[in-house]
Formats: sequence, structure tokens, C-alpha cells
Amino acid sequence: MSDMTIALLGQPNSGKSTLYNRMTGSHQHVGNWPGKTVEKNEGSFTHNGRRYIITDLPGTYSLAANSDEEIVTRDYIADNRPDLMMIVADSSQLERSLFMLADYAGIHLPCVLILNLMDVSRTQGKLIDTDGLSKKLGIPVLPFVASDPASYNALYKLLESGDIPEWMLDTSGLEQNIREKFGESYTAACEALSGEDVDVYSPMWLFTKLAEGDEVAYEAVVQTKGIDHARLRDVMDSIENGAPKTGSCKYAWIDSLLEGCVGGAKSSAALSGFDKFATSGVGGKILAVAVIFGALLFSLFAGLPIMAVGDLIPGAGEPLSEMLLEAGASPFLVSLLCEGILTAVSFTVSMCGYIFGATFVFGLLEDVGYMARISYCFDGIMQKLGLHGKAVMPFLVNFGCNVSGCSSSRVLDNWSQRVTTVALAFVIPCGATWGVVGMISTAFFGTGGAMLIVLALFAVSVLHLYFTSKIFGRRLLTKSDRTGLIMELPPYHKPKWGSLFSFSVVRMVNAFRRAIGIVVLISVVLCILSYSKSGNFSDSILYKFGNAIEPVTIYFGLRWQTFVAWIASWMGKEGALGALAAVFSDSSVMSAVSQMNVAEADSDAVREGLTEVLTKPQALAFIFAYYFNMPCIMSLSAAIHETHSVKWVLRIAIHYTVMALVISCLVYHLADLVW
Amino acid sequence: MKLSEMKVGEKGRITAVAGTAAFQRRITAVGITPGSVFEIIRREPNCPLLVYIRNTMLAVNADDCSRIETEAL
Repeated sequence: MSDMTIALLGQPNSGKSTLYNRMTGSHQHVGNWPGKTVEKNEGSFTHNGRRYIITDLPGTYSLAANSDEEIVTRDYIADNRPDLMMIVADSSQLERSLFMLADYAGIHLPCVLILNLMDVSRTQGKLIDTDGLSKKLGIPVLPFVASDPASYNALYKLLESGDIPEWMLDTSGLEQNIREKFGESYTAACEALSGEDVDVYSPMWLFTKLAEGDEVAYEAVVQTKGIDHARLRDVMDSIENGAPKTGSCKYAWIDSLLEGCVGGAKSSAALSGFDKFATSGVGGKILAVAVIFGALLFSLFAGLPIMAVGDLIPGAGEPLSEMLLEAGASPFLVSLLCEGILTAVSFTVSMCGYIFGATFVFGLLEDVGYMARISYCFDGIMQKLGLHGKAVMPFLVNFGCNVSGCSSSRVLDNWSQRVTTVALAFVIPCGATWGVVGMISTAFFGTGGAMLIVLALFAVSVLHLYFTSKIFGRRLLTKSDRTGLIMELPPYHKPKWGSLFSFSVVRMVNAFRRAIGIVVLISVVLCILSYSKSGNFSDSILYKFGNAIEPVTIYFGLRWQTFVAWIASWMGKEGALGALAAVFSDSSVMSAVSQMNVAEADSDAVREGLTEVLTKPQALAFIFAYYFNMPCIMSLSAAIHETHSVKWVLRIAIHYTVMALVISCLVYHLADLVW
Repeated sequence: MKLSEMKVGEKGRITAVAGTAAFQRRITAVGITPGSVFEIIRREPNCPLLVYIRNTMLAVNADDCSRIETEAL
């Protein structure tokens, strides 16, 4: 039997991804849709000897061409013509959720309707007559509980039916509404369209899309022969407020479907006691900040086991190098392998701990539905940056790890907003930054001074954000891209631990794969530069280079030692500490860079060395240069992956590098006046 | 009356949605169309308006609410 292709279509929060995960298990492939930043999820399963290939289309509210997600979805349906479309609706919010079905109506491909979350709608006291619905629609309607194996058995049975090609949605009711609403225009447009399908689209579907001002549908029609284009244009130009009108028709159709098929209790509009607090102006923000703080702590905790593995890796360096040296390997190559490459691997593995932790914890907030409340609370603040509430997530995740922060920018509606968010959110340094800032500021300025420095860093961050939003916002966000927040506050759900865990692992593994190559390359370069035959750091190229350019770097308040540390933090923010340790302990930089948690003695040595070499203004300059430095290479590679634009990510990186140097220059020269 | 002018606890019906085609499509997809019945749930300064409409709790940007015409019920 030939493979059967299935596509899952549904609104966000309809639970279709749970369905997908349960059916495909580990047979999943995550890729990208060609030329788009939209994740492509394809998996397969075998049942009774037949293989089913299933595509989880992006969760969108409609099939309008508003975003990349929706365009991808439409293109997929038209180009691939899956054997069966599974339309998933949330039965606890049936009216709104069926809009996807209404927007699909008129596409001539077999489909079934899956009413998910039946357990939730049952507890709401809602009674849904799925057989009645099925009769009205002319397709099977399956009540579904994503956690119940019986639901899947019913679904598999459905898939084995020989009638699949006949499951065509009955759209006569909808067409009736449209004819009544648009009258002559509709008849005339259908005549102009010669009454025939274009691709999989019926004249009715095309009419509604054209009436909604859908440019992508317009393109498709223009290229089709046998259409009276002049007449069609005349008719369509005469229609005003198309989307509200077609929308009313679609919802009226949904209402007529549900009439007599849905009974029992009406769902209530009231907010729960918790939500009353969570959405209040002041209390909601305080709660959100507290939850975010807790989430960050917890994400560190969740990533700890992986970070510990990363920390162990450099330990293998010493025995390994001894073994290789005894075997007669060249000392240079041994140092390259044991210091350079091992360090790079260790860094990337530790970073994976952060990525896993941040993805898991913030994914959890999203999963239970609280993330939408956070977006709601911070919408006002994000608007000042030209963004809206949904953009808050990357900013928050960045406090943990900038790599995960980039990935979470996916929640944004369009590309321009996504790039702007990535560009702005990099002002928030990752968790690793604070260790270095804390150590150096207390060493020079004591605890009280360190607190003042943190406040100053925050104050400068606000200015930086404002400035960066002006620069990137002006270039990236046109007026039509600056859409306001329109977002559902979903009911709270129990988290789906299994899919959350596998999702975090997949994100982590993908980030590791992307980053490892470039991190190894850079560390090898650093290793070569810091290598010297004598073993003394002062004989290395890096030392000579550092000394040679100090006259320039000192203008920005950076001595050559701190400049090297500043460069090393491109590899990973912790890199700076190791580089400083190297510079002051006169050993190879890379072996010290690898000691991310510099031992107590070493860190004393660094502190001593620093206080001897640097003046207070220079220390301050370094703290600012380091704090506002561009994020690590891994974050940049994640940003390229999310934005698909090397050009913009390079611009962002250069912007941050320049800003860091300008800020440190200002701080240095101002502080110089004081001390 | 505009959606942005309605008070918390008031119920109404949408009568018209103005704005660009893109905005109209976006707002239609989440259930705000002429004829929809709604209730204003929450209005806080510097926050979006919370509206309960078609079984759904929606947060809608305050500026966007001024493009939506309603009648009180």
C-alpha cells in the first residue's frame, strides 16, 4: 500500500502538536520551510502495515496571508495536496476555534474535523453532538482527548476507511451566507472566475480571499487563464470592508452549525481569582516579575546536570595531553587538541545546559498559558520600543541565555518584528555575564560600589535600548509592521511534560550542531595565537599583538589584558574570566579560558593581578565594555538561523561592538575626571 | 460607540471594523466581526483591553479598539 500523507491544520492552543507528537513519537524531523523562518515539522508512523507521513502545519488563526506561517500553510496545502487534511479545533472554545474550518471551506481536499480537548469541554458542562455536526458538514467529526489512547484508536480506524476521497466539506450553508451578504457581486465574480476551481480552490474560496484583500490569492488568480480579469477587478474593487463581511458570513455559518449540536452550560466570561490578580495593572506586573525571577533560577537548576558535564570535559585535557606527549605527538598539536578543541567543546556543552534550562522553563510558562499574561502586562512597555507584548519573551529568556532568547523570537508575527526583537533583546546580557561583572566590581569598588555599578549598568541599558530601537526600528519597522497586540489569553492548561522535554532537547541539540563548528574554529585560532614554544605567555603572538595595539585600546579604557578578555568573551561570556586568569598567571590562555569556574586561588590571583595593573577608571571601562559587548558567537549563529539574514545579524553584531566601545570610552574618560 | 470607550462589565455587539485590510483580517480571525457579542472584562492603564468574545478571552491593543464600532446591549 502506498504511503498516505496527512496534514494537521488548526489554531494555536488547539492541541494539534500534542496529537502530532503522540502519533509520530520519535519519528520526527524538524526543518525549515524553504526560504522562510518557519519551523517545518514532519513525522511518520506505521499502522497495520501502512506508512503515514504527517505534517504539523504552523498554528495560525486563519488562512489569510498575514504572516509567513499562513503563507507556508497555504502553499503546502495547494502544492502538496495531502491525501487527508486533519483540522483540529479546541472544543472548549468551539466557536472561535472552528474559524479555521470556515476559512478552509472551499479548498477541495478531503478532510476530517477533530474536536480536541473534549475532557475540558466536558468539565465546562458542554455537550457536543459530534454525529449531528458530522451530518451537517458531510465529513467525519471525531471527539478527541489527546491523552486518551482510545481516541487514537478511533482515529487510526478512521484512517483505514476506504471512503477518504469522499470526505469533502459541505460548504452550501456558507455559500448561502456569502450570496446573501454580497448579492450581485458574488454572482458576477463567480461568472468572471468561470465557475471553475483554480488549483484546489473553489470560486467561493477565491472570492472570499479576494474580498479580504488577500494579495497572495490575487497573484494566483492573475496568472490563471480563462478568467475575465477586467470584470473580476471591477467587481472586487466595488467591495469595501471585505474581511469583516466575509468574517461575519463565516461566523454565521459556524453559529448555524453549532445550533442544535452544542448544549449544556454556557462557558463563563468571568476571570478566575488568580487571573484577576495576574491581569491587574500593578499586581500583575509584580507577579510577572516574581515568576520570571523564579523561572530564571529554576532554568539554571534544570540545566545544571548538563553544565556539570561541560565543566568536566577540560579535566580530561591534562591526562590526555600527558598520554599524547609520551606517545611522541607534537606539543603544538597536543595543546591545540587538549586546550583549544576540548575547551570549545566544553563551552558549547555548558551553553547547552543554559539553552535546555531556559527553553524548558519558559516553554513551561507558555504551555500552562501564563506567558500570555506576561505579554499582556508588559505590552505597554514593549510598545515604547516599537514592539508589542509578545516580544517580551525573548527579552526574558535572554537573562538566562541569548541563544534560547533568539529561538523564542519565533512567537512574533512577522519578520521585521522578529529581527527588531532579536536586535533589541541583545541588550540583555545572559546569566554568565554577572559572574565576571560581580567579581571585578567588588574587587575594585567593594560591595556597595558594585551595587551602584549594577544600577548604572541598568540605567545605561535603558538608554542603549532606546537608542538601538530608534536605529533598528527606523530601518526595519514600517508603519504596517508595527501591529498592536491582538492575543488570546488561553485558559490555563496542565503542562505536557513529555513533549516539553523533547522540544527542549531538540532545540538544544540543534543549537549545539549549529554552534560547535564555529566555536572550535575560533578557539583553535585563539590557541594558535597564544601558543609559544617556551610555554611563556609573554612569547606568544597574542601577547605581542596585545601590547602593540594597547595605544589604541587604551583610548577606550581597555588595557591589552582586558582587551584580550573582551575579545575572548565573544566565544562565551565566561571566556573573559579565563582569559584574565591566563594573562595574569602567565600560562596559555586557552587552558585558563577552559577553567570557567576559576578556582578560588586563581580568582584571587586574577583579582590581585587586576588591581595591580588596572586603575579604577580602566576597571570600570572594562565592566561596561564587557557588559554591553555583542553576545557570544553561538547566539549570533542562533540569530542567523532565526532571521535567515547574515546581513542583519552582522549589522547587529557591529552595532553592539561599536556601542560597547563607545560606552566604555565615555565611562573611562568621565571616570578619569573623578579619580 | 467605539470599543475603546466601553466600560468594564458592559456588554455589546460589534457593528463595524475599520482600518487596513491587514488589520481587518487579523481581527476577524480571532473572532471580532460585525455581529459578535462581547463583554468588557478588564481595562487597565498601559495594558491592552480584555474582551470576552466567542468563548475567548482576548487582549486587544487600545489603539486598535478605537477602530472597532459597537452598540451597547
